Amino acid sequence: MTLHGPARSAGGPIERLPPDDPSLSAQPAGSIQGSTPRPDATPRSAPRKSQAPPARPPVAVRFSTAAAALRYLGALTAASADTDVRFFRNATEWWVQASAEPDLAHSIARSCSGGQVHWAVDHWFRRDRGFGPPPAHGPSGVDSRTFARMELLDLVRAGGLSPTSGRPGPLSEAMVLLPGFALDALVRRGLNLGLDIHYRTVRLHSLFPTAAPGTKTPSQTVADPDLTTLVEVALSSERRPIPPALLTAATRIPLSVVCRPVRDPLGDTRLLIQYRMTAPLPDHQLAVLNRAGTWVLADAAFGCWRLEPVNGYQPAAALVVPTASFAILDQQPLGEYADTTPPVLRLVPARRPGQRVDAVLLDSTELRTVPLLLAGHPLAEIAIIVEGADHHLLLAPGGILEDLAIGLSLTCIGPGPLYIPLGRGLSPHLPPAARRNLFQADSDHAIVILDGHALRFFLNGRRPAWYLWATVPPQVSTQLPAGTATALRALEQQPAEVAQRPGGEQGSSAVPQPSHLPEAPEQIEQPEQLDTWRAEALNAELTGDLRRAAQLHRRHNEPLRAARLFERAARESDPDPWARS
Amino acid sequence: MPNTADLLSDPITSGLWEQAGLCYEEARLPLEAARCYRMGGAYRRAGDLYWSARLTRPAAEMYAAAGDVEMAAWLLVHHDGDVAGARAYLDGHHSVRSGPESDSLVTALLRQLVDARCAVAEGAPAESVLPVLDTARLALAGPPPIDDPRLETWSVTVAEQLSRFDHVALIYAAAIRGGHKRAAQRWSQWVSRRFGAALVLPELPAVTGAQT
Repeated sequence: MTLHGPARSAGGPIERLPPDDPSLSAQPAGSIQGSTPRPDATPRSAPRKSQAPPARPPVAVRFSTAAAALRYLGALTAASADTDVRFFRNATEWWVQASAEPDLAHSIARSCSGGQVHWAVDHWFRRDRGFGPPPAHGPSGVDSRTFARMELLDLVRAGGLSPTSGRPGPLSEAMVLLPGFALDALVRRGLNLGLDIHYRTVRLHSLFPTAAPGTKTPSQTVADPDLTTLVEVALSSERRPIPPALLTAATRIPLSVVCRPVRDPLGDTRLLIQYRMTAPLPDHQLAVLNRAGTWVLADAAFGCWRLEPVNGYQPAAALVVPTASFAILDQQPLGEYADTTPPVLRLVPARRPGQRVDAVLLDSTELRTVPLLLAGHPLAEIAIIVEGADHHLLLAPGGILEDLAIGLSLTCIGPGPLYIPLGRGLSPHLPPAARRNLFQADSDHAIVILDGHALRFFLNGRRPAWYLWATVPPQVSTQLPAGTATALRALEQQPAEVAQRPGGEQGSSAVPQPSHLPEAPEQIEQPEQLDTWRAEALNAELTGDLRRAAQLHRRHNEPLRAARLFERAARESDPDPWARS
Repeated sequence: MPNTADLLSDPITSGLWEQAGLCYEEARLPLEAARCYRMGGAYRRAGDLYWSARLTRPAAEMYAAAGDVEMAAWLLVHHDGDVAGARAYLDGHHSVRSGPESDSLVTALLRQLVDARCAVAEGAPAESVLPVLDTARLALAGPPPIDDPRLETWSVTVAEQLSRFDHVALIYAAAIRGGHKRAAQRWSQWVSRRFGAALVLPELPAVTGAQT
């Protein structure tokens, strides 16, 4: 690193030039100018000079190849926003003049294959010694008026394209410019691979005004529209990259080129550069340098063009049409067949391992024996009786799960409270949706399917099973100690004494009954609910939410009932119930 | 015979079966629990439950469905005496096995042990079986630690069936050298069970780790 005077330090921040006036940014393009007079004499650069840090002329760097000059330009424009960049050419040398920090210019120039930094004072390019103040005005050094002024396009053209080293990266978007006769093959292959394809017609105009000496370019002066009107196909794929085999095959289409699009920050396509080629500048910087229109940069076989779209993009899937002989036949239903009879639903013996007694169907005589059977049985706590006309249903949350000696044992097949006798199956087998539709067993109605007919019970009138034998309580006489009774009576009488005249009569019965003790009920009218969680579990089970009912039972330490409910839930939700039973 | 290839692809249903199995286990009905695990595709647990109820054949079926044919074959040959059934399992007639499992060293050794047990049950001479015990012994003592307890247990069983108690001692010694936990304890338990005597072991030379 070179030494610098005390005014500058190597590790200091890079000063950024203040942005230029917007009036200065419109540079005339496409015209070759002679060497310019002194920079501070032209009015358009005078305001810039006044805004820039005082007394620092621009820096001109000499390169031996245009590619190096382009690389320097790319690195410099990434580092600073200078819009007054000029290019000169002198035989084999390329000069880039721009305003930059000298040490920045030095470091970038050295990295671009040995550029030499000069001060551009007036129109003299004076070699920078690497230290000390900028040189004063005066004629010494190289006279830039003898150089030919170039444009950026010439630099790009001289920089050329080189093949990408290594494997090209995956593309998710590609453009192919090809003649119309090759379109359908590419579209068919691309649609088979699942790509998104759009196409439009474009016209190509020559990019460089004159042919460069010594290069072989296609005849740009031919005004035949057929030669320069091509179809642009945009291939894109959202999730995966475009298969490189397709791109390689597309490169073999005659008179075509496969490009990758480069967009500017606003989203317009500024540049189409050939698939396996790169320019000395990175793609995005090259795209920014192009202010309007779209460039196509390709090798000598195709050439470099400016793209002009003729119409908008159309989806290529619209190109696919069925042939004339591809008939679509209507399938109108022919109407109902009058001679089909649906099969009758029967109950047949069926082996069902793992089914348990969930409910019991009783008739009226058996109902009278229920108190004898259940009194003293743990089931009496939770069993529920649903009375009907001549049949009655004995349920329990989670199922009875025991073989009571009376009645017909039923098992619940669901969905909802739908029961069939144990050891039986439905013929033909009905899926759960059909069962739900046919019988509509829900939380208010329980259905029991017997052979040839079914019974419906109304669950609104369900009562605990112990209601069958334990409704009338015995006569309850309250046993209070005499002292407590007297004290309570005295408490009651005091407000009564204030309101009454002294000497009011008192009810002096042998057994005083203070009025605020609870009355013993003579008849239990409204049967109480089960424990709250059991009622909730039963409701969940009747509604069909078996899993919740099972979790409630499990949480309250009833594993057998929980297991039965989980098993019922698994059977109901099993998509293939006959596979493993 | 359930095929492991068509395990339930519906996780909700298999979860419900598993819950049912757990609840049956809590209600102390292991056979019902095993049935639910089987329906839900948890074959190994079903096999464990069947085996704890000493139902050899269903346990073997479940282990084979879970992919552990060696266990299935061992159950059949050692606890049921069914050599033909065990060999059928070993030959792979009954279940689908995944690739990487069958390549493991331990699995290959266990297979050889089951094979040896079948040979002993068929009355083969000891000379043909002892090389397998040598291989197992080398594996037990070797640097890569083996954490499958069946290697030691089954080797000891095979040696016991041959009435070669010297090989039993060699196997336990190899297990101790290989650093298996509580191998000496198991050895002394075996000696007291078989001979009613107490085991006396020399001082173990500078062995690191928990050795009792």
